[in-house]
Amino acid sequence: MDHGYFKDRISAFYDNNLKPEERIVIEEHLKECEECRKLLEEFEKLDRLVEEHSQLDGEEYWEESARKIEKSLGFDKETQVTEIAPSRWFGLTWKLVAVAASVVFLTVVGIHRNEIWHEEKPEQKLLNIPKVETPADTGMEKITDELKQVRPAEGDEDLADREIPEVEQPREVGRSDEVISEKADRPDVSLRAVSPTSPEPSDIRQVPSSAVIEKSREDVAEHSKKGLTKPGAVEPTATANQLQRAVQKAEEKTALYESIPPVKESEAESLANLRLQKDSLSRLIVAEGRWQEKTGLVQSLKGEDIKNKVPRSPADIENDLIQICYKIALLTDDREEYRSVSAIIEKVARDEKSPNRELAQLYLRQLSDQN
Amino acid sequence: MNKEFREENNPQAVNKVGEGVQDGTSPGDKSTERRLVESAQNGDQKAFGQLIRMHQKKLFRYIYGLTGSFDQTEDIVQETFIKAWKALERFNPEYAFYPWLAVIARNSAYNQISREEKKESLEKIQEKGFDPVSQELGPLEKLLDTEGKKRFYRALKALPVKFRSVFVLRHFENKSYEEISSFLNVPPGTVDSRLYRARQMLMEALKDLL
Repeated sequence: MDHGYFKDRISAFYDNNLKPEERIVIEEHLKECEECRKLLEEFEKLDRLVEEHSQLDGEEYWEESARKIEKSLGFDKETQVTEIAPSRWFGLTWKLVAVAASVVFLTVVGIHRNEIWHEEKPEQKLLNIPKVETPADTGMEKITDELKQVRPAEGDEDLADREIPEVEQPREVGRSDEVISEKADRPDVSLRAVSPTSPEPSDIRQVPSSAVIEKSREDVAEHSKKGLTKPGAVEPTATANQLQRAVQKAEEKTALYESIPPVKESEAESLANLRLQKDSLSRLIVAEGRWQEKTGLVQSLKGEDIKNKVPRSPADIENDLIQICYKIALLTDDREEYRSVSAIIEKVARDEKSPNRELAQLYLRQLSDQN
Repeated sequence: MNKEFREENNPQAVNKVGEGVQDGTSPGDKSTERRLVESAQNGDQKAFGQLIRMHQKKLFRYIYGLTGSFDQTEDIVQETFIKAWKALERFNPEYAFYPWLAVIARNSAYNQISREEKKESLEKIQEKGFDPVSQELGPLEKLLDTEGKKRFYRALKALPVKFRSVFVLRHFENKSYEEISSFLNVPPGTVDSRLYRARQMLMEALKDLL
């Protein structure tokens, strides 16, 4: 056979692209032909040379090129990983618990105030106090006008005039029908009454609440000295029915808050609590994977308007859940648990219809970066 | 060469993650790549940016090998990533990402190769001769740190496009004769002979480096 034929086939032989019978023929020829063996070796060398000499350098160019591509894709702002703020949910929870406790405490104090302060301030004395109409009867403007006419007692001027310091508001508590906030470290200014019509927490602060509750300067002074607080909604002249309703509301609230796994501030970030929160939210998911609304628990979790029992949207529930899952993923050492919570976030991240998709994607990115 | 490849619409036609062609990433990188692809599919621009950085160099080498033009290669590589981003949802992350990119890029380069090939008759090749020394590499030169690399690329660029495309598909992309034949729409025997010629010419030009 012509030697040229063998030479032509060496290339295909090298690439293992010959039929078996042809391959055998070439193998036999190679045993005898040094020239063809040399050619085969050169193919191997060329292969190595290509591997070695075809690699491109210039790292700066490639980085610039990548940026150019990103820019043309509209990634012109260098991809920013938004700082994920620590979930405000946890801070909110302990505040809610504190508010609930305050409601109960203040309600009890309100009901039994005459007994509590009996020795220091006889009931008869209270009866002499001019009647103050409730905010609900008069509207806030009227009350405010009346309050302007009340002159503080000597030495107490600053109390009446003092602006109530801003208490940090939980994100969604502002619209509660009765928000009674107490700051333990500021007992003299902690009393706060909020009209049901008060639209914003900022408006609340404009009302000198101590005066709303007690027009009596003496009374205000005495209670300020004691550092005691009283619920604004419970007026000294309130009827038994009003009191009853207030108690009922407080009990209602308390019952709802009891469904929240207790989260102390110091423990808010602990895994155990996170797991409890996650389980609470997960229970809202029906077997088919659809979100189920369950107003009470979720409202209490978020501190929304309990009175109106406005159902929370599935999207909000989902939002809470992925926040919790993200926190767990950051803290847990359990691989299984990590996978499980990541899967929940991932599910949302893949859900094109979910309004939380972006947040979930952000969390995934953060987790990916962490890893 | 009139057959268009449309494998980008069929990502499964390319290799699964961790199988088949080497794409410049070690097997350990596969899971990383998959995570990046999945994140990018979820709209993660940063992840896609990383995929660009992982694959652009290899893609550039491939397309430059086919076109022999730095500017055209830049455009094709950029266009490829734009197309990939737009079509990313269709891609199955179980499969390796590079082969998918390469198919998109190859289809973009197809017209360019086709045009050049038409201009380049065998007679012209013979008239012009093979000149692996005086080839201008242009901006590519800055991306080649050693004289050996520059010589290799000059020699590659000097190859007639018919030979060069076969050589690049075989050596850079590890394509089989059948795949090359299918893409270039030439019989496998032609692939064989062109590849042999390309190898011979390069070995001759670079013999002192072998």
